Amino acid sequence: MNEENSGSEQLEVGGCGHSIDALSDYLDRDMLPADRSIDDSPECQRVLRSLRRVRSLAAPLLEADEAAVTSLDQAWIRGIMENIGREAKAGRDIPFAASDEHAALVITEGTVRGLVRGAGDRTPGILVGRCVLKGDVTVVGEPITLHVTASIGWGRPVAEAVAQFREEVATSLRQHTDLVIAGLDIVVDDLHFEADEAREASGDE
Amino acid sequence: MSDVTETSETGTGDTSTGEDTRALAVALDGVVQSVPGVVGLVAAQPTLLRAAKESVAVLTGSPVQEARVSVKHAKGSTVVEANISVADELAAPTVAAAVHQAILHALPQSDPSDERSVTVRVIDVVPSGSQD
Repeated sequence: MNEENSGSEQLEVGGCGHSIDALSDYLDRDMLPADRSIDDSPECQRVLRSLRRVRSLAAPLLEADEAAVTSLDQAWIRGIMENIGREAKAGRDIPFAASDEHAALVITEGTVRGLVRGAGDRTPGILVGRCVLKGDVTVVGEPITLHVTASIGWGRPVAEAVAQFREEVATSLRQHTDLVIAGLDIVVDDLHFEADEAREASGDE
Repeated sequence: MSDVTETSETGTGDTSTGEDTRALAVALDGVVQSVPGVVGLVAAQPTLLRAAKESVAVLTGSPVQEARVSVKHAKGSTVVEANISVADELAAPTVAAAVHQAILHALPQSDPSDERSVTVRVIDVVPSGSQD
């Protein structure tokens, strides 16, 4: 685990004032007692959805063999969680085509990143790492590029999974934004074990 | 829904009073939330600050009816801002446009020379199954 991670425990999610650890604890408590500052915060809600997804991947590892969960695994999970927190912030306002000088109809950059992350959640074997929107998203019709990193489940056909993910992203962005996507760069930069592989790796029959 | 934040108003000698503006903002809350596809309405004010203000209001026994839609009056202009969460099933641009139209229809007719500026910001797209 690198040194940067050691000071990240207080990493706040966007501007909502809660850290990833605090939100993770909230999830542990089944979101009880209800905290309105979390329940009413879209940034926090996006993070909670993503944390559930990461946990669904991490849980089989732990169940397979707790001792086998190396510090590398923990650092990987931590890194994903930090990206989720960092990218949940609202960011830039991205206008819809219907905007004019008296009507600003916009979607936030954080929401768009959430759409990409959601597309990953719907694609078997894909877990989104980082998502960066490159270009001037504040100008309607301006071509932009998306750069996405992802981890893929061990044994999954990479080309197939990436193609499906690409289609999920394109469909979601077409439905919910008026962005002109000139390029969608998907870099698979990591592998993760999924439930079955994790059990096999631990020798559990 | 009346757990609320800030209704901004700048009563700068206009015909509108702060109370008028507050009432309008509360009414707009209902208008926005009734638009199909809107699953949440969040105040522009930071969540923690709003939660703190509400807690203080409850502790002091004087909860205030405040709105999540922000309405500001200044000389010759009305500025409305709504931050919404939308359902994944509907297209966000369509929902935002519908909210914009609903707000325009709900705004009282005033001097035609008055400028109206409406901001509708989609701050979350909520997947089906994630809604309470």
